[in-house]
Amino acid sequence: MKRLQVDSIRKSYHQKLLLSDIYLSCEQGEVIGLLGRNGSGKSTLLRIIFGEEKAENKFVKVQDRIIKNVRDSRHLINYLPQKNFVPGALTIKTLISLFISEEKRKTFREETFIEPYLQQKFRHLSGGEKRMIEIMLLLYSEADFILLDEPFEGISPITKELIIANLEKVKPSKGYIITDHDYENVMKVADRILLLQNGTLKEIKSRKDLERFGYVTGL
Amino acid sequence: MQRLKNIALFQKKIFFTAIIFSIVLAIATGNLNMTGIYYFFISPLMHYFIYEIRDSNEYYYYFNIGFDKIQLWGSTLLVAVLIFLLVALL
Repeated sequence: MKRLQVDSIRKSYHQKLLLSDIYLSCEQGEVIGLLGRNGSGKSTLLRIIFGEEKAENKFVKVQDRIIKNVRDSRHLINYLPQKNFVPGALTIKTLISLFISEEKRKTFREETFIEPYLQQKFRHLSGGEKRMIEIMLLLYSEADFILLDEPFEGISPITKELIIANLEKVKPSKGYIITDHDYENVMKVADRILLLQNGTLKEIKSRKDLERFGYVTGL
Repeated sequence: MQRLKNIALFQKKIFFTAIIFSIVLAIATGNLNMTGIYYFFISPLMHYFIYEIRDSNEYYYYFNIGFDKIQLWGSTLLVAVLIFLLVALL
């Protein structure tokens, strides 16, 4: 079983310490929910793990491979950014042939919710449809670990359920780190919840802990 | 093959805009032989405008396939050199 190991991450912005000696690990088949207030550094942490963003100090490893940049994370870590990342001019069919490996293409195309979109261009889809297609591409990608930055943003409840169902379906083969302000859905899907606060991670066991740390009110 | 196709996809956006600008500039200066040189200088500018400013989030598409910025910029320079040589040979 593969393991993503993140250690000693330290990052400052404008002399303010954003992330301080962050440690976390994620195994294949595990979903980690990462919560935190706006500006707490969740996206920055995901981008550092992915290898895109530099940090003053970092150690990221998948099995024996140390991830220093995005080239190292090839086939190991994929990242869903907050904004759409797929080139808009592509049809979904072309996109699948360019992004998904040959072995998985047929299964992906035959997914009932993908089929109606195959001939459509990505740019012509609605915001929610775009998000769903992007998430599905990553779920079916070769990477062992997927970092999802606000996957539920702008998504209707029924599409959220669809995403969660598909995530559960491919869960055994991948590890996930999900961050989103829709903490109820994150808590529903995650095996472990971590709260990023004042640059450090805190283990969350229940909603009571979220109240205690001031992430939600006790109402 | 999939990686090559993705590089072609990345370059397509740069190529069409840069080649149009280069030809227009060559016609305007009355020297079509300069098209290759103009392309050599214009394509990096187009790369910068398209991918660093306008569609910067598209980088993540290529990052997720395993390309980094150095490789993508390298591909732009490589295509620029090839176009320059191609025009010089014509």
